[in-house]
Amino acid sequence: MIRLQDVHKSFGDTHVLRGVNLELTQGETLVILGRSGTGKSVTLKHIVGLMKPDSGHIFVDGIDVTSASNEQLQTVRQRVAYLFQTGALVNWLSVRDNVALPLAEQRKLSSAEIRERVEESLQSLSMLEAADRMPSQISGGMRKRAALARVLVAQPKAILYDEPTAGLDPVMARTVSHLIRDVQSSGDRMALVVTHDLELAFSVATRIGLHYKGELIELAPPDVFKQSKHPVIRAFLDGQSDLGEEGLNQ
Amino acid sequence: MATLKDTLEARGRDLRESVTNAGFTVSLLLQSLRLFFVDLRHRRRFILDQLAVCGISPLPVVCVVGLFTGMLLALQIGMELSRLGQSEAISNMIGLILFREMGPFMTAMILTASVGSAMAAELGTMRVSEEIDALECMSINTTSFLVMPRIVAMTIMTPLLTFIGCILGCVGGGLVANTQLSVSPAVYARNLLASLQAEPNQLGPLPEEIYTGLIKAAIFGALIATISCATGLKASGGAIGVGRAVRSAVVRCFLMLIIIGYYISWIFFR
Repeated sequence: MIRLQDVHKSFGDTHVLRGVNLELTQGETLVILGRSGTGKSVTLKHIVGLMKPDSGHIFVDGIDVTSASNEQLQTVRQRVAYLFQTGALVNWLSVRDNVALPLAEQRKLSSAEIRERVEESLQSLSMLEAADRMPSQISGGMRKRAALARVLVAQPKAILYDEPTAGLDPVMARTVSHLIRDVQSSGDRMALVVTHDLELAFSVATRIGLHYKGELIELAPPDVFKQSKHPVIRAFLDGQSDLGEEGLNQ
Repeated sequence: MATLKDTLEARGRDLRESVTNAGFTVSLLLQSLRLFFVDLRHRRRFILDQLAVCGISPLPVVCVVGLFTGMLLALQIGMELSRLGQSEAISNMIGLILFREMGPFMTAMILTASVGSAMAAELGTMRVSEEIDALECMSINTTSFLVMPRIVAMTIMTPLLTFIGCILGCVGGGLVANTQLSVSPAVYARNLLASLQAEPNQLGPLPEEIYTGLIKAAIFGALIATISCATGLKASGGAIGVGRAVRSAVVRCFLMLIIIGYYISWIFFR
């Protein structure tokens, strides 16, 4: 289980997270919507310990990430995988070597076992043909799939998806959202997706929340969220630029 | 207009940042040293890759610069020596200058510009494109994965390139000595070897002057790789941040090379 408890984070004068609270349980896919630059990715980075909050706590299977030792942080990172917006593949390694990287670095499996798991992971995402290409030689969509293969090969308990459809054409975005849905339905793993893509959100989520002014508002199942009367949510779903601030002020 | 308080605050921030960066660089070097013994077996492939990067690509430049530095030295020193009627002493001076100081320093400068800057750019780009964050998320020790192989490769390749550069410098000096100063190749070679063997056989089969130069070069190599990697890892702010990191890495390397170089010479030759 992943639990964020009253997490605050500021960068200089900008208060990005103002008491974020959320709980993610086994098998759940929680989507956090919000406009770009509102701190959605910052929330994800706190969960894997890439950032430390100014105050508050983050628990992953009972381990408090904010005060975790290096060994505990390693355990957290083996359980929770992070799919970066750009894929973040290592540029000087082939797709195959990139996918093998987490297993090779864990040094627990034999080369043959690693090869088998890598082939399996690449196969499941139809990436076997591009396995020996370098990241610079494949398209953006393929890079995302390769990155997802790298995430899946380590068999994590939870996956954090950072804007998985950003920068993709509508067809590829739909393919990626199907992939996420397939990945989620194939196991009992948790997923936390941050995005501003409504189509993706409503196709994969079991619960949706909106990140607004450093807080999460209205964490609810997709159909409830869609019917929400909250002015900010209504404005976001209707694509209004002022995000319902007039409604809030009234 | 900036007040005195603002100016002092800004200088204070700069100072704090400099001290933090220096601490980070030293800790990176110490961590890499420890990880060399722990992770060497797992990093053989990356070390071999880096040996090729650090050794092969700058080799032509080192050869050309080495040759012409020797020729230049011979020309300038030779003119003065011939006025004093001491032309034959030219090889003594060229050998000492190249192997003690010029060779390691010249090679280190070339490696800073060609390899160190590339290291800072590569790691800086990895930092701003979240590749390093991704490695950390996979519990991969970035010092072992990215930094240690580069430091090891530079520590090995810098002395090797220095040696090649110095030999070519001596050859270049010999060419000028023979064609411009009428010093015969046999006399040039004899005096050159004699100058490098002031205290022969103290450290092994090669003259002591060569060893001291190579030790200096190895230290320079480690220094360049550590500073470049540390600066690259601290890059932030997209392409501009990477550019800033590269510039900063080159400037820091040049400054440290000249300062550390002086103290190494002071230890060896005082």
